[in-house]
Amino acid sequence: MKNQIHNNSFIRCVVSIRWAFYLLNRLGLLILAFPNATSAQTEVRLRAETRAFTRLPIELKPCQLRDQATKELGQRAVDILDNDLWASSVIAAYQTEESRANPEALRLELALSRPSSPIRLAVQTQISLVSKKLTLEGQLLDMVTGKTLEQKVYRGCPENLRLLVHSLADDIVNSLTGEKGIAKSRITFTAAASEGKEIFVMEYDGTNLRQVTNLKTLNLTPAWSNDGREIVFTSYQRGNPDLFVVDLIASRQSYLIKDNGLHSSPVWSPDGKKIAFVSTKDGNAEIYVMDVYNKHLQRLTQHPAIDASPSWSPTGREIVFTSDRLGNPQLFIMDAEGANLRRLAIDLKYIDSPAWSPRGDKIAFVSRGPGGFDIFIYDMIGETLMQLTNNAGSNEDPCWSPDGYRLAFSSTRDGRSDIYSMLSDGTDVRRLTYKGTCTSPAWSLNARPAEDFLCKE
Amino acid sequence: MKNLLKIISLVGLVLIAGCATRKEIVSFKNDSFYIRAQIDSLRAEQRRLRAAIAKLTTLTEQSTEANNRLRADIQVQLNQLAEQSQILNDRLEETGRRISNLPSKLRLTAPAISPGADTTNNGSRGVDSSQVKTAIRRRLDEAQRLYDSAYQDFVKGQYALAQQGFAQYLQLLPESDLADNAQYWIGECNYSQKKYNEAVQAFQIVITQYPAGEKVPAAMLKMSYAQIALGKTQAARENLEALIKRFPQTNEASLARSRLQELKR
Repeated sequence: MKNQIHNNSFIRCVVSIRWAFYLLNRLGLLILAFPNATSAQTEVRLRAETRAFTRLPIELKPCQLRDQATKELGQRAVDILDNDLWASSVIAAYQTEESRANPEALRLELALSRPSSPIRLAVQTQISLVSKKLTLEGQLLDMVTGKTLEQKVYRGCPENLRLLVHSLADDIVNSLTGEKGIAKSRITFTAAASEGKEIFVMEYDGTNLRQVTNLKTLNLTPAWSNDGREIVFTSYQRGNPDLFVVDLIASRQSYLIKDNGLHSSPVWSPDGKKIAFVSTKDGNAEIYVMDVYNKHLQRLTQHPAIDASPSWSPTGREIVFTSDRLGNPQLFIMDAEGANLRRLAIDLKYIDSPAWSPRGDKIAFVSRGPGGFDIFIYDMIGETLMQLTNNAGSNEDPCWSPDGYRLAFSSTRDGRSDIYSMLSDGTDVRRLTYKGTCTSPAWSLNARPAEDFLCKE
Repeated sequence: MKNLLKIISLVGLVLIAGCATRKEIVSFKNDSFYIRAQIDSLRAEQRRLRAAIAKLTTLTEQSTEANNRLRADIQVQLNQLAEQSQILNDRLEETGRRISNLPSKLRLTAPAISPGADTTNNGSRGVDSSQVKTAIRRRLDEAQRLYDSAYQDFVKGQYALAQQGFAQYLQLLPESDLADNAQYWIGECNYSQKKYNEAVQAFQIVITQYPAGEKVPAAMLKMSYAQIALGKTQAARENLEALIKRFPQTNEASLARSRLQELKR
């Protein structure tokens, strides 16, 4: 779809009613200036919900340096921003400097070959560094009118540069689309450590990798809390698969469920109040929901077959899961109380690991083929199927980015299992890990605990 | 003697003249006093006027400033209203688009008579049955799309919009296979918004109007849950028991059993 240009006052994305509601709620908080009636400005409607991922070109100007800020620091900031804006999938960022982090000619060509719209956007960054105090300033400029569309200041310390730039990238994406970006989001996964498998966390782009558990046992299927402070996972700490929670801020682990039977695949509800998981505590693999605050358990499925892999709908009102009650693993949807169960009519033999998109309209899953598993997307509106991976090792455990545009997954395409991410149309595949034993990725929302922004003494 | 007389008369004249000048001087003095008084009063008047003008100027400035502020406020409000109406327009457009995608009356029984087909005079050339089928198929597809987009609205948490969509579908196709489903979703939209009274009513319609429908067990269960949320535990208990009795083998019956257990505790 083409960008539509209108004579109006501000830039925003109007694609779905949801955005309209969003804008209604945020009226008055709109960052973009209202011009007076006489000056005609342009309105760019980003058609973001397309397979083609129409991108708006934005020039990244060289960083202006103040005080003790070095050229290298400034270039690093612009490179991180470049990468973040590209990952947003709605912006084609380009640097006119020779030293670009992403020198692929294709990018620049794509960015410059956009329809010659009367709108030209640029981002001007400034960094000041005074005795380990870093100030990052970002301005979104309309080069045609010379107007500053948005201006933000972020303060921190040099080691938080990446996070400050992520915040700027998210704010730019937000001011152009009314949606939250993904630059502050993180991915957790499980990978081999000294003994067994431990839980790891990294930024969405694969940087800042760190190990968050050291339980020296098998730890599997991690999932994020909605505030990004905790991760819930299955741990064999006492020889039985129990549910654990690790608090990333306090670096503490504690039992969530210590009970007979297997407990696995926990997933936090979008509102943070419940955790759905699979348990065999009553003898058969069923799906349960636990109230996080009073630990009250509710069993939702009642079937002698195996019910597994729950995933919440974006509102938390429904759950999609896998069940082999019809003979082979298929996808089913029920409401959050366990009622109104129905099968998703997908014409494939073996289906597992469903993941409901945060936009609500798609469900990603894996299906077994001759060469291992492949990732598919079921579009609920058109009831269509799309295969995203093919003939590239086994691709498993898809999970959505918080904006619903990207998927992270584990793949053996380069020999052993690592974490990758791609756009939801299967393009722009990026390898994120290089450990060879990484599985079960889970993508956080873009909420980041305030403690992450604090400077370390 | 004559000389003396002349002198006397001269002196007299001089005296008379002196008298006159003194009079004039006095009157002149009087005049100048008067004029000075006038000037003074004019000056005072002028001062008063100046003060008044100054006061007026400040007042005017203040009111201009207030006016400007008001104008700016109004401008901002107008801008905001424009924004809001733009958004509402978008919503209207969207809803309008959905409605316009549907024929105004979707009566499956009404044959679509092709233009030019003369049915009155020429009995052998009736309505082209394949055209009727295509028209019906098209209308069914459109209704299906309406149903699907209503469900999408539900998934995205746009409950009011979803409810509207399902209600529209029900109006268009009250006899279709999905009518009970649409009615069930209306209940679910209310339940998701914690509008439990409305939810109970909507689920009740599923149970009474579509007793053979597949959504009845779920409607009975969710109606009981809504009643529990409203504090009508006794009614909920009766409904849960009725559900277990009527549909003992369903997933909903198992859920009802465990909920009854909880209520007993």
